[in-house]
Amino acid sequence: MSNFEQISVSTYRDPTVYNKVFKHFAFLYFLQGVPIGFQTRFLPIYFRKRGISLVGLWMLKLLTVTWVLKPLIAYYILEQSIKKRFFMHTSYVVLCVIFLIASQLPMVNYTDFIGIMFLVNLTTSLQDVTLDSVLIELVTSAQMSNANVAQNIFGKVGSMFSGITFSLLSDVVGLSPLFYVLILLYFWGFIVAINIMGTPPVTPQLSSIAPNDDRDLDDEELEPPRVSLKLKRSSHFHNTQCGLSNIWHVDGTPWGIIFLLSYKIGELGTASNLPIYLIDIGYSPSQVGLLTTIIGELFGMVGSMTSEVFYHQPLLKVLQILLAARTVIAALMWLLVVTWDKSSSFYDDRGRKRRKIAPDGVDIEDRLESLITRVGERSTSSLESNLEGLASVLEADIPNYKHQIMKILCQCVVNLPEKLTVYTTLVGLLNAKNYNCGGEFVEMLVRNLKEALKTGEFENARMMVRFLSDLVNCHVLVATSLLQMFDSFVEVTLEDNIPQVRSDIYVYLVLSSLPWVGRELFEKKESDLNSMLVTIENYLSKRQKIHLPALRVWLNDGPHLQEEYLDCLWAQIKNLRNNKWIEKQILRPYLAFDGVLCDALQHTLPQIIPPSHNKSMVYPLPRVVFRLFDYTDVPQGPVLPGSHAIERYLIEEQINRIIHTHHLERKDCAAALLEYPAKAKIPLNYMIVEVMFGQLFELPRPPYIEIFYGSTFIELCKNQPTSMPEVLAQASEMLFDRLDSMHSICIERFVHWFSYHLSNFQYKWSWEDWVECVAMDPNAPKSKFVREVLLKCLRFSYYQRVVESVPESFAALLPPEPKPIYKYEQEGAGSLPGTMHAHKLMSAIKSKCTPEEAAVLLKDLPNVYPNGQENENSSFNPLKIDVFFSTLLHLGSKSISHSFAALAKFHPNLKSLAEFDDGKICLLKVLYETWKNNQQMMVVLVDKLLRTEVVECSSVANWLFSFEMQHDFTSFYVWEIMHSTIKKMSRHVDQLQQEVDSAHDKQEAAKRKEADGLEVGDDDIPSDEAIERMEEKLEAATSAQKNLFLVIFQRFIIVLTEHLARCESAGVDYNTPWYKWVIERLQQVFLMHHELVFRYINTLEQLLFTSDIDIHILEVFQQFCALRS
Amino acid sequence: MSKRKLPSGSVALSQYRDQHFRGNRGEQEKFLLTSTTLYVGNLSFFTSEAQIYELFSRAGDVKKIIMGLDKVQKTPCGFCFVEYYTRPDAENCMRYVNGTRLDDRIIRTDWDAGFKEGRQYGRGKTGGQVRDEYRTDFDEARGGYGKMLASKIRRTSDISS
Repeated sequence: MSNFEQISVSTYRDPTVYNKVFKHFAFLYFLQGVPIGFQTRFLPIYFRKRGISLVGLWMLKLLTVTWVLKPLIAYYILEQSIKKRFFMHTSYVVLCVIFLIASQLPMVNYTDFIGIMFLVNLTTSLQDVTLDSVLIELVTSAQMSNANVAQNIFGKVGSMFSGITFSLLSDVVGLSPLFYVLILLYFWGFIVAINIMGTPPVTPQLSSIAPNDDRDLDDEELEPPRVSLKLKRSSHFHNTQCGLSNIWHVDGTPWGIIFLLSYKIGELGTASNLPIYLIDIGYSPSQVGLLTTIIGELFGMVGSMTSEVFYHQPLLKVLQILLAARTVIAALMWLLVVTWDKSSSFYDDRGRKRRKIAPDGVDIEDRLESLITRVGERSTSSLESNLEGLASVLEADIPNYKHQIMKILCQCVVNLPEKLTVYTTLVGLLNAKNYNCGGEFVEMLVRNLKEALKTGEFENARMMVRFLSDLVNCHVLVATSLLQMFDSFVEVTLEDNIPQVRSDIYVYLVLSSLPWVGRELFEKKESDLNSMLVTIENYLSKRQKIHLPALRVWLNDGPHLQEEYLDCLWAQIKNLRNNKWIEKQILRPYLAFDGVLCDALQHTLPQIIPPSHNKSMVYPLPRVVFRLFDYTDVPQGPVLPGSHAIERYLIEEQINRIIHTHHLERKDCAAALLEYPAKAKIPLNYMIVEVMFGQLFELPRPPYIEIFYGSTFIELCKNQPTSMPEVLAQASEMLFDRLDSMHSICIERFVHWFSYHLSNFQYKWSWEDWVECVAMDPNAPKSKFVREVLLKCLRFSYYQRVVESVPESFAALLPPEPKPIYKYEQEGAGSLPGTMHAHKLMSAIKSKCTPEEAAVLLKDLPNVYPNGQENENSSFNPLKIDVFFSTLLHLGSKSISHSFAALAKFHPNLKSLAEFDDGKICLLKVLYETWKNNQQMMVVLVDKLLRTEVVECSSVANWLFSFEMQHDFTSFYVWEIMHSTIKKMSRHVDQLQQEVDSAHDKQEAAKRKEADGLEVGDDDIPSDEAIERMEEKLEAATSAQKNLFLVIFQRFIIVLTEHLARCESAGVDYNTPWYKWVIERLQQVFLMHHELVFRYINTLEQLLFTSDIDIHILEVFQQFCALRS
Repeated sequence: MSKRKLPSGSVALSQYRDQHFRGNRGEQEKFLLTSTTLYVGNLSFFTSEAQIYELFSRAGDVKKIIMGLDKVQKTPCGFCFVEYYTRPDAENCMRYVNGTRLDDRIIRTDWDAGFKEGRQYGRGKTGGQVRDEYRTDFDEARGGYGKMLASKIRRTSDISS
């Protein structure tokens, strides 16, 4: 033992070793400071910024209670000195683990922190004791004061480091990266600790010449909270043999304790509240962190170091100096805060100097907005208490921020209707506290509603009407006044000469609010309510429903009724009425506040008269309710509400709203859908799938881009890997089973989605179940569906992949290998009239000839068809076109880019070869001959030819309807090309229209300036001639667009009339699969481009859809017209 | 309130900045915020232009695709640039295509300041992408092991044989 002692003492006298160990300890003390800074500097700022109350922050402080336990821990540990190394090592590991767990938790809430911070405190205090005792073992008394200072300084540095870095970082990154930093630090600490322990310990006796009591006290005075206490305590406990009780008997101990307590309270009160105060007046966390941490801690360190200077001074003098300094500082702070509050107009109305304190007055508004928009989100405390808290906060802010608060609430009405009842309750509570405030809110909302009705924002209007209705439940509005508004809406149905869509939407505004307020109206104004419902019923029974077939996803009503949206909602409302207006779906937080709300004064809704009809107003199109499942399709769990239960409507509505809110972020959307508030009560997955497919198949167009649905379904499957894929597969099976009666447009969307979905799931599907379609007519919907899906899969992957992913029995449905055909290199090409030229041209292009040289090569080709037949039309040369274009395509066939490059280089040749319409169509036919096995290539290249103006939109339409394309007429790619052509045309028109508009605007602005006598720069003001030229161009484009539609519809009529006549003369049923595809493609042209077609509807009616065409064709036109009538 | 709101969520700019960009950070950011071009990463070496075309057309009209090539071998090396005609279409791609699968691989899309000649080549020492130089896992669709590891394996097997 004594030997051991000798060695270790000498070891420590060796300065190099001492320095090394000292460095290690420095780091460990630095680490000790880190959590202190984290919780005393960073967390309060962080939480205050997020609106936690001061009480909440003090609760956080309570966590430091573990430090009080320290003496006990210390006592235990020092008793078992062997174990302390073990304790120390473990504590680093434990901290690593704690922070690792913390980084994985969501940690959104204040309460989440409590648990973690408690553990951290416990472990750190333990670590603190062990570290101190180890240090004491290792240093000599001479080194003690040095070590003491070092301990203080590095502890401070650590706390400063963490306080400042975390405050700064938290502005930029989230919380978890911060935890990673902590984990790294502690891991390092662990390694260092092991390193230190490599040095042998000194016997306790050596260091027991520990600092005396006086020194401890001195130290304590100079040092804030806890860091400094360590040496004293540990050394005390070292000497436990001397007895704890001895301390008590030392003179002045009780006074010392009282002094220390009051001193500490004052210190903590000022030091820890200052940052919070700064946050409250609008500083950002990083600024506060920088200010209080760097500056504060620097001074703290200076203080610590002066302890060394004062070491030899009498204690009393030191104390006097210190207390005097403290008093001055506290007085300064007090002065500062008082003057700040007075000069700041934050809490006074004049707003004179507000800028000075809140350089960005936005901050408060942002805070209010975040508080208001986040209420009702998942939280650990109850919704009721959150609402109550928020209401009192807002009440306090209303004198200064009334307008902002009202505006934010009005935004919530339209943007967050899924939390409608939460906000009505909030408004109810505000109204109960402040009657005027409730009145002003209603006023503002009514103003917004009137505006929305005037500008045709009916969806927003619907949310506002519903909100006003629910305000009756919250005792903000008088029920009679709401009924008056409803009545004036329902009266629209009695207007003459208005389109049905107008009265529809006003009835819908009323009906869709009734689930919320029905019960209240029933209790208070039953007879008025009933008479209104009678008017609605009368209206609904007289409505025209010609448009219905155009919007149905399925042609017949089996297994589920295909109902018009108003009819369905009416049936649901009738059921609700039969149930005494009681439903089980709507969350009604105001019920909990009945006592408060009851006493509130109610307002009367001002009169709201629907703005009268004008021609330019566009009303929402009618819809058909999509139904896929009923309760028998859901194998277990909660029951799916029936199609006429109001609950079904309410759930659908809510899911639709969630999708609307999150449609720009598919991950959030999937998460929000799966977090549906009342998910335990309904078969959520089935409802989500039905609503999403309902949107995807919605006619005329889905609300959002198709790939949104595909990628969100993938997200849903990822989030619920055990249940969602199953439901989706079941839905796919059901859709497939019902393909025969599905609208072609919807089949197309189904193909798009299904192929995309397969491409994300390794093309795995139980194809065997669908083997029936192999033997079917190629035009039968099921057979067509599988073929088209495989074609799309081919485009997503490659030929071999598709062949391998389906069973061999599907061979007949597989597409051909997507290779180009070049007839001039095939067997027997020698006999073709163009072969020689084609070969010459090929080698010329390969040796990089110019476009002119290529043209020269073709010069002497005769004007014949490629098969040698004479061509009488001199406007184009079919052989020249065939030789040139097919050779060009062949040479560029390696990839899309190669083809594009070839087309770009020989653009002039193509332009001159296909100068006139017949030439253009001939060119497109050559494209088909070359690439008929690769549809994607055709789609891409037609697009390119159109954009480079080699061909025109009408030539593409004519080509698609031509005899040569008849074979592919029901193929999806033909219609892909058709619609992309129409779209390009309309985009072109839109662009020209915009140019003309902006030119007009510029000119007018310039004229106004001139009239005002201002100088006008003449460089970018379009002249009258320039505008005229633009307008001419626009006119030409518009007539080209009109012409395109005329061509398309005329060709449709010809093709369909021929078919109908043929069937009639043969005496067979006209309704063949081919007929269904074609007539529904006609419908698709109407629906997909409905805004455009409506522009030309009069021309179409006069020229094409006259009474002498077949009624089957005319019907499609009439249904379309009925959409807006 | 005149301050323009920066795009957030899936259309926000990522942390990555092309180090070879000519111009300062501000200019680069301005380009990124208006660009219609996307960088596409983690492709299989075997994925063709046509496949990329099919997937990316789902988000909007694709103007051009430039395949990333190995500087030495001039074969695809696992990335490309996709240019759309309009910014909204490119944004849809960032929203709905980024992070989904193509050829059974989860692909990544990111804003790009616009294609410049020369950028189609891999920037790794051996010609491929830098990430394929140091990769230590075996990725069949991206040429097996990373280049460094592969050459090490080759050397060891040469010695032992």
